[in-house]
Amino acid sequence: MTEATATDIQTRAADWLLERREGQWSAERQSALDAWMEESLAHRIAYWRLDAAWGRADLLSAMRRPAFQRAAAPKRKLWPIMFRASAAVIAIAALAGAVQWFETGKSAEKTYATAVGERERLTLADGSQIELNTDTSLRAEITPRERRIWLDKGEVYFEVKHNEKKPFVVMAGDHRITDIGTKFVVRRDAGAFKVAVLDGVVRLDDSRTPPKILTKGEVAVSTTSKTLVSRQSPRVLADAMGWQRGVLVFDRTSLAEVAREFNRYSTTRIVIADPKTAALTIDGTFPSNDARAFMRLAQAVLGLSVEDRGNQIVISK
Amino acid sequence: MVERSDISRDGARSHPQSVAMTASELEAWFVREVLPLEAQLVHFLRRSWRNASDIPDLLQEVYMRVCEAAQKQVPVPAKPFVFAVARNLIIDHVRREHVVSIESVSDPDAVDAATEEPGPDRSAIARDELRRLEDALDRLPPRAREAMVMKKVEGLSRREIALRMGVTEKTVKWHLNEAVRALADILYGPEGSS
Repeated sequence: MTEATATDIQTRAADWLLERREGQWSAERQSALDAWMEESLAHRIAYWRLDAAWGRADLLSAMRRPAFQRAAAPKRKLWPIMFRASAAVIAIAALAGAVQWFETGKSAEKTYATAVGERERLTLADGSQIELNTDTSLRAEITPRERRIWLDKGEVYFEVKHNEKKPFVVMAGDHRITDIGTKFVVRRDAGAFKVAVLDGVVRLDDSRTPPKILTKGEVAVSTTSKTLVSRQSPRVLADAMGWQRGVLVFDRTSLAEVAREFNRYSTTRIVIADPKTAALTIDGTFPSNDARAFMRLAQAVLGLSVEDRGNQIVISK
Repeated sequence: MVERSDISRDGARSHPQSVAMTASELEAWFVREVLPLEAQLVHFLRRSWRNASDIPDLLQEVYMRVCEAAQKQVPVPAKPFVFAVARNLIIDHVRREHVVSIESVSDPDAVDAATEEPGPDRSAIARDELRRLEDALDRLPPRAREAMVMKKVEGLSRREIALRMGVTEKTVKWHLNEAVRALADILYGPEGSS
């Protein structure tokens, strides 16, 4: 029918698409792509079609497994990559602490932090494993008598190596969580604090109320005035831990909340233009690092209008 | 030309909205209104055209004619227009190839009526979508699937995938190329709408 068959054009379009979506994209390549697209409407259509399919496949990251599970199957070839990823975590030994370490053999206070959109897991000196979610900062001090963590901001998952002689204590503002052999996650945002116990038992103390014992499945949420404890289903708890797989899980979640969540993971802000749109609810699992993948779906499914202003995405009816 | 007048006649029938679109608006309209019709469109083309190996080219031609027309005037609704274009295209080809039977062109309205679905619960779509994607993934050729899982599920780079699969980056690029095209066929074509 024509010199280049539809299959030829699609193959070329797929090449362009993969090159563009795989990073290392330059202004020169963009103008080369523009020129190719300009050549024929058939080129443009083939590209749009494949781009739409590729974009839909972004949702597949919902199947990603947590880093802990991935680490369980050793993949020697990946070692250099994992090493590079670990370097993304800034580990600073405070100078005073370092001196103390040389003098007494005690461990120094160390700071661990992730930037917006990053996620990092690490093993502390005592063998406990922790995973930092986006935009998180904590300090850790392991002494012979006690293991102490100060959570300055963000969200951290703890899988504590139990040791009765060395209590594991997490300080978050005026809250103090003492591990009694467990897995738990702590989140500290401006003015709000939350701890969810995934396994085992923790003790929660603060300066105003009597200590509380939290067991598996219990979630404590504090504002400046009070602390509420509730029990959550395993599914709700697992959904809340979606960030370990790089996804956000929503279950009848309002767009206002969806926007707040995505905004934790990116410097690109999602802004909802009006209260009516903000009140719409959505279900689903989305890659936390790709607000645009979510936006594409919101556009297609909810019929919302989405205006991409580069560092701001404005959604309205 | 006969086909042009046919298109504009069909276009007029479907009450076009006289708004010209920019390239990105055309893309958004195409992805939103036309691509979801692909499964039905391929069914229709297969029933109307004997040689199955011509289908990808016929499909491309329908898309081109639809987009050309939409650049000037957006057909609202899109569906009857797209099927009218497909029918005209088949008629043109039947004439060109001196094939006798015009009855071979089945009635697109019948295809239309048979596949009208009730509006799904929107909030459930995202989960359904994931299920559909998992199914699509299962239907990819094995090596393409493997590369696709590492790319989209595990988020690895082409270099990392090459290391894991024990092949060159060029080979990975080919597997991914195959995967993207097969994925689009499965997601939009009749193979995926089971």
